[in-house]
Amino acid sequence: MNYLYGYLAVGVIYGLSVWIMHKLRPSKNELNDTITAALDKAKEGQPFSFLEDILVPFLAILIIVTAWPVLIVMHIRDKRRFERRLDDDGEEQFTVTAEDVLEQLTIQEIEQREMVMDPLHSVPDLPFGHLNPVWVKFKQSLNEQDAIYSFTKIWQPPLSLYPEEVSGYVCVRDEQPEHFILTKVVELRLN
Amino acid sequence: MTAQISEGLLLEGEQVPMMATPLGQYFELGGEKPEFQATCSALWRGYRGSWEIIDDRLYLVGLQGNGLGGRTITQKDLFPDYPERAFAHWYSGTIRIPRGKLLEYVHAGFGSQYEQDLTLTLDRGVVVSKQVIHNGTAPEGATEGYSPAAMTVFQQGDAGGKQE
Repeated sequence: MNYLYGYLAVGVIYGLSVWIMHKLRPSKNELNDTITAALDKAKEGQPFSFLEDILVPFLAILIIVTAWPVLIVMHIRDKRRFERRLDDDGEEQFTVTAEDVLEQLTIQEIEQREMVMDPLHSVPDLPFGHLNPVWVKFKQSLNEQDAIYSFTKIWQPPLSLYPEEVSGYVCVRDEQPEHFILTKVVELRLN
Repeated sequence: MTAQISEGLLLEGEQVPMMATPLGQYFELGGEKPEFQATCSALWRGYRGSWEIIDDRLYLVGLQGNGLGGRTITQKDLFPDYPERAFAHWYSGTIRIPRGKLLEYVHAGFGSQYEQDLTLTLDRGVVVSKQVIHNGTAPEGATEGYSPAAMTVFQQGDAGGKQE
């Protein structure tokens, strides 16, 4: 019997610690305010409900107290899954092949065609606008013998429901497309 | 799966929910991405952008993001020289703006269906076409306005998040 009380006590401590950690969260944060507003909106105009206001919280507490080891395992699993999502080297990577290349261009031609204009002057007056640092890095990676080609390719990202049309410029070294810079990615939704 | 908090859009003087994340494309094209932290399951991307369309051009006009250790990430962190307005020339694709009452609630992504969708198609940050799609008529008493119905809030500074 003592073991059972001990087990349930751990569940209560686990539930309380999660609740306290939540309360200790910094609250002076605009994004948290947005999230709270979304929660309030979700509750807005909802009349008192035995199911949502009594039964669900009661069951939630019951599950936490009795099934806390399962929740901890789920939490660790979710955390690992989330971290894998952030840094997943195993998934298929986008590449450019010889079939995808379109037209050879000089740096000057590319910089001319990639100038971004805005009447409100909300973009740097540089090739590729806000993405100019990406272009600068790409140029720095080029050797004297390299050629630059434009490319367009349809590909299916591993985690997306829809294919994408991807355009950009690729460095062709020894007749082989190598690293590239992307200029446009359009999700091709089936309407 | 949880319905996601939308981006905000000021369109013709009206604040509307925007079912698209143009900053995702900015990061995909190589734009520097801060380490956003998800603080709740309704905002896996860790930020909410505010946008405006002026003369058919899309601008980022605000950003609220959570960084490591609860640090606030703003537009200034992404566009130091354009902290108030940045032309979204990198974005090509569609933006869905739901209108009217809720037809079907979908607790995933931006999946919920409303009576109407205003769909804007953009090419390099410029609106090239607009389309209104009528999805149906909601029953009497259906809710109006987009919002996720439930979410899990995580602890601050925990990438994986703890459920409560």
